[in-house]
Amino acid sequence: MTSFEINGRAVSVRTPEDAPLLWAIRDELGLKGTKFGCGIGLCGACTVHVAGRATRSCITSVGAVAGASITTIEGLDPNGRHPLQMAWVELQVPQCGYCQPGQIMQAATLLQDYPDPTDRDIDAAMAGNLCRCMTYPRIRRAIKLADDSFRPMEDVPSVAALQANGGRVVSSREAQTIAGDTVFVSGEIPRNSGFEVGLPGQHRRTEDGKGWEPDELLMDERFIAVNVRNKGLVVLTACSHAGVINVLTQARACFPGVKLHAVLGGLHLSGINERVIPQTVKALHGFDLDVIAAGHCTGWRAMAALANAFGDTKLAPLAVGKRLRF
Amino acid sequence: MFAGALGFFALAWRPAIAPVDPPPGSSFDAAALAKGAVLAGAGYCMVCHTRPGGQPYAGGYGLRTPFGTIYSTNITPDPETGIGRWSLAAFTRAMHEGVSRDGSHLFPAFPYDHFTKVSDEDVAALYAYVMTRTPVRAQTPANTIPFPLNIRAVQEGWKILFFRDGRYQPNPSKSAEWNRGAYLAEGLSHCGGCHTPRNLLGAEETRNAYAGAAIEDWIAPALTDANPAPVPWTDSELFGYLRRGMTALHGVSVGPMGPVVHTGLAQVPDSDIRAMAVYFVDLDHAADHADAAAAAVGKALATSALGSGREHDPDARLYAAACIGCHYNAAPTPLPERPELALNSALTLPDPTNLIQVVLRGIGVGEGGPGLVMPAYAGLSDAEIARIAAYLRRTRTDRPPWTGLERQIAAIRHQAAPQ
Repeated sequence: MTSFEINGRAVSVRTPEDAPLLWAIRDELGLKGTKFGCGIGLCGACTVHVAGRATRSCITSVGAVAGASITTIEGLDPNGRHPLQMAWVELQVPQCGYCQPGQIMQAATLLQDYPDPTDRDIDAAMAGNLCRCMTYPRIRRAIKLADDSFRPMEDVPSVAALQANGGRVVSSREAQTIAGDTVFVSGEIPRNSGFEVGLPGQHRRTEDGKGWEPDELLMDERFIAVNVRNKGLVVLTACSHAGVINVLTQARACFPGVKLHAVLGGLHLSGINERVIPQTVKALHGFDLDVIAAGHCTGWRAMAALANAFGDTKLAPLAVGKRLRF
Repeated sequence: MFAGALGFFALAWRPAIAPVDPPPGSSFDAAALAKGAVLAGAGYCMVCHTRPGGQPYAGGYGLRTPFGTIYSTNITPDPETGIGRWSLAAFTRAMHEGVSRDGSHLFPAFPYDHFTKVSDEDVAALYAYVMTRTPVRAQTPANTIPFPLNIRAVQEGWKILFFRDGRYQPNPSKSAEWNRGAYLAEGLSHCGGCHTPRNLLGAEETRNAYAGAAIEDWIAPALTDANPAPVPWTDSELFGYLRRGMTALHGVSVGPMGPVVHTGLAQVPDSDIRAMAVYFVDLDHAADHADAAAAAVGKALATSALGSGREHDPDARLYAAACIGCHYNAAPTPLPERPELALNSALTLPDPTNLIQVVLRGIGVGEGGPGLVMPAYAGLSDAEIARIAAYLRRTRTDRPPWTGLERQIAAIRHQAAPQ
C-alpha cells in the first residue's frame, strides 16, 4: 500500500509501487480528468501536480510519490474557477478536449513561476504538451488572459507593412468585387435578426490608441462571396460575430434571385452564444442551403444541433487544412 | 619466509574484547543520546547499515567494491547477530582502529580511516545511540571477496600501508568554524570516502584528495576547484545543497548523495552544515572565481529556451517534447524548482553517467529537492537518450562531445535491473 495526499485528501492505494501513478489516479481513485496519451512522457496529457509542480504521471511511479501531495485537474480549484479555467472557458479553448487538462495543469505551474509570461516562456514551458486539434493559439491567449487583463489579438499588419511585402492594399467601407470581379467583398452587415447581438465583452482600442472601449457588435465585420457556376453563392463568413443569419440575409439582399449554395466559416455559436443556437438553426432552414461547412468557433453543441437539423449530407465539418470542392 | 609470515600474522593479531551484557537504555543520559542521534546523522550510518526494505541499522546492504561485495553488519544491539554484547571499548576500537570485538580486522569498506578522527566523547555518544536502537535479529550475509583477500588478517597489511590511527588535530591557522567543518568532513561524514579517488588496493589517494571518483554506478564530482560546475560552489551554494538538497545554481542531490543529505545530514544542525560549507569553500577556492557566476548564469539563461519554438533539429524536438517543459528558465535567474541543466555538473563532467542515471531513474520524493519529483524516462530508447544527452552537451556546454553514449546507456540500464 502506498499513501499520499490527492486533492487534499489522504489516500492509500493498492496499485503496485512500480506502476504508473496515472493508473492509480484513473483506475483506483476514479479521477478520470487526467488522460493517458502516450505512456512515455512525451505528450503531456497525463500532467498532474506533485508538490504543486507539473509532473507527467504516466512515467512517475506510485512508489516515487509516497507521502507526496498530488493535485489533479479536478482539484486545481475547488469550484473549477481557477483563473486559467476561467480564461479557457471565456476563449472556448478546447476542441476535442483530450489534451486540455494536461495543458491547464502545465500552464498553472508556468504562471506560478512566470506570472506574465512572454511567447518565448510559453513556447518553452508548454512545448511538451501536444494538441492534435491545434488549439495552440487559443491556449497561448488563454494563458496570457488568465491574469484578467486585456490581451490584444495579434496586430494586423499595417498598410505600409502589406505594401512593403508587395500587397496592393484596398481600404474601403464600400461593398465591391475584387480579383478580376470574381470575389465579392461585402460592406457593413445590417444587424436585423434580433437575436444575434455580437460578442459580449469584446473591446477595441480607442481612436487615440491608448485605451479600450466596448465593441460588441464589431460593425467592421465583412463577408466574402463567390458565385459558383451551376451551384450558386458560396458565402464565407468570418467568425460570424455579425451573426450567420444577418450575414446570409445580407447576402440574399445583395444577390436577389441567386441561389444560396453554401456557407463556410466559424459560426461562433460557442460560449455565451450557445444561447442563440435554437434560433439560428431554425432561421437557417429559411435559406435552403445545400452545404453548411461549419468549424472552429461554431462549437460542439451547435455542431450537434446542426447535425440533428440538417444531417450529414448538408453539414460539412470545417477544419484547418480541409479542402472543399464545389 | 615462514617466520616472516608467522611474524605478519602475529602483527595482525588483536585480542578479543570480552563481551558484555547489552547495556540497558537507562544507562545512557539523554544528552548523550541526543548528541549521538545528530552524530549518527552526520555519519549517515543508517544509509550503509540498512539494506533496501530492511530494518534500520540491521545491516545487509551490499557495497560493491572492485574486490567483491561486502555486506554491512548489523549494528543494532541484538546480542547474537548485532553488537548488543559490545562494550564501549570494543565499539571505540572498531571506530578508531577498524578492529571488531573478537579481534578480527574490519574491511576498510567500513571507513574507519575516517572514523579514527572522531573524538572519544563523540564515539561514546554514538555508542549510546546505537545501543538504544531497536534490536533486530539479522545475520550479515557473507562477503564475496575472493581468497586470499578475504582473510581478515590480510587487512593488517592494508593498514600498515595506508592507515594511521589518530584523532582529528585542529589546524590553528584556521577558524573554529573551519575546524568544525574539517572535523566532520574528514571524520564522521567521510566525504573523501566517495569523493577521493582510490588506488589499486582500494585506499584513498590522499595526494589527490577530493579529486572526484566513481562510486556505485554514479560519479562523485571533485570538491576542489576542479569541480566542473559552471558556477563556483560558494558557501551559500554549499549550505543550500547540503541543507535542502537543492540550489538554483547547481541542481539537486541524487544518487548516493540523496540519502546523505535527506537521511543523514538532515539530523545535523545548521551550524554544522555551515561549518562544512566553510571547509569546502576553502578547498574549492570559490572566492577566486566569484565573478564567473554571473556570466555562467547569463549564458545558461540564453540557451534555456533552445529546442522550443520553430526548430528543425530532431534532437532538439525530442528534448522539447520530453524535458524542456520543466527545465526551462527565464531571465533573470533560474528557479530551484526548474533545475537549469546548463548549470549542472551532470552536463559538464567528462563522464555522462550522472545524467544517464537521472534520466533513466528519475528523482523520487525523498531525494533531490524537498517534495519534488522527476519522472523516470526509462521508456525512451538508448538511442533517444543518447540523442538528448548529446544535444544537451553540444548546446548547453562548451565541452567536447561524449562518445559511446548509446553503449554506456545500455550498460547502465542493465546494471540497474533488479538482481
